[in-house]
Amino acid sequence: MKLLVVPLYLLFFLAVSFTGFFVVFHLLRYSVNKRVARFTVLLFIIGTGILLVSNALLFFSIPFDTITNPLPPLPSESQF
Amino acid sequence: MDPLHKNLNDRYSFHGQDSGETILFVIHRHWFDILIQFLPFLAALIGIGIASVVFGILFPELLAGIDTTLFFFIENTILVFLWLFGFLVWIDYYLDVWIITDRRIVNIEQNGLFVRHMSEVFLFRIQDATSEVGGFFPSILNFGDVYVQSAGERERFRFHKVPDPYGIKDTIMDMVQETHQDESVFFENALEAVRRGAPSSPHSSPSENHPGPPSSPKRSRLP
Repeated sequence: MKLLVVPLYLLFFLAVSFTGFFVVFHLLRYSVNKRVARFTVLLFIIGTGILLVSNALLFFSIPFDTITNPLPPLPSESQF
Repeated sequence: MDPLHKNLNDRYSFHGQDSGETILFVIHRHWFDILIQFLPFLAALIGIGIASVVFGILFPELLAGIDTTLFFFIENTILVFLWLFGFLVWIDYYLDVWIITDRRIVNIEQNGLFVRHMSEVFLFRIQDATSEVGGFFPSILNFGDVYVQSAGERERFRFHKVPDPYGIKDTIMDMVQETHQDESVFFENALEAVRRGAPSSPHSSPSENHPGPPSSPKRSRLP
């Protein structure tokens, strides 16, 4: 299952990074007030960095091998 | 400091600004507009916080069926999306700007990440301005639209959801009136000089009788 999920996660990571790059590009290039631009870019980079790092750590901590069936097991018929 | 002679060039600049052009006003949409757009994000943040408290601390047995790490990973992924979309909303708000200089009005509109419109109208081409405030919140918070009628290809110039639309309209009309008055005085004096037979050089320096081309505006009602 991990072989299927990891490429999908990498795709998600790349999409987020790509979007983040364009957010920074637009803020730096098109802001009329450069001081506000620098502040918002700094805030964005720090926040995105923290979120992506924590997201990656959480993802690679998920026990994919043991998560085969997230639902609790159904009671067997022999119990009745 | 006299607001009539303020110069915002040290704080602001825009692509296409001429050398010697003075930025007088930089206007964004009213803060209420972006607050409304951020409300769903705030609600989602509160929901995530409540879910973390309820499932993580108060009733952890509810998470017995799924892995705790997976639960927090899903929450973190939702936070990443909220963070990105929040900044996209901010970009859409902050990069929409109306800049009034001593020569023209520049309208810059950002629609999403890859669509950007920029239009301008020179003050001497403006014919009239209209302000419009409609609705409960716009009336209470004093924000609305300003329409500027020009003689250009794009006849109607629109300031969308801007604060103090009446003040903006009055300021624009004052600036336009000053421009037209200066123009008419300039041409009257030039015509008088021609009638008297005096040599009129286009490069002569402005004097009391020959004030020169239209200068920057004298009055403003905006802070």
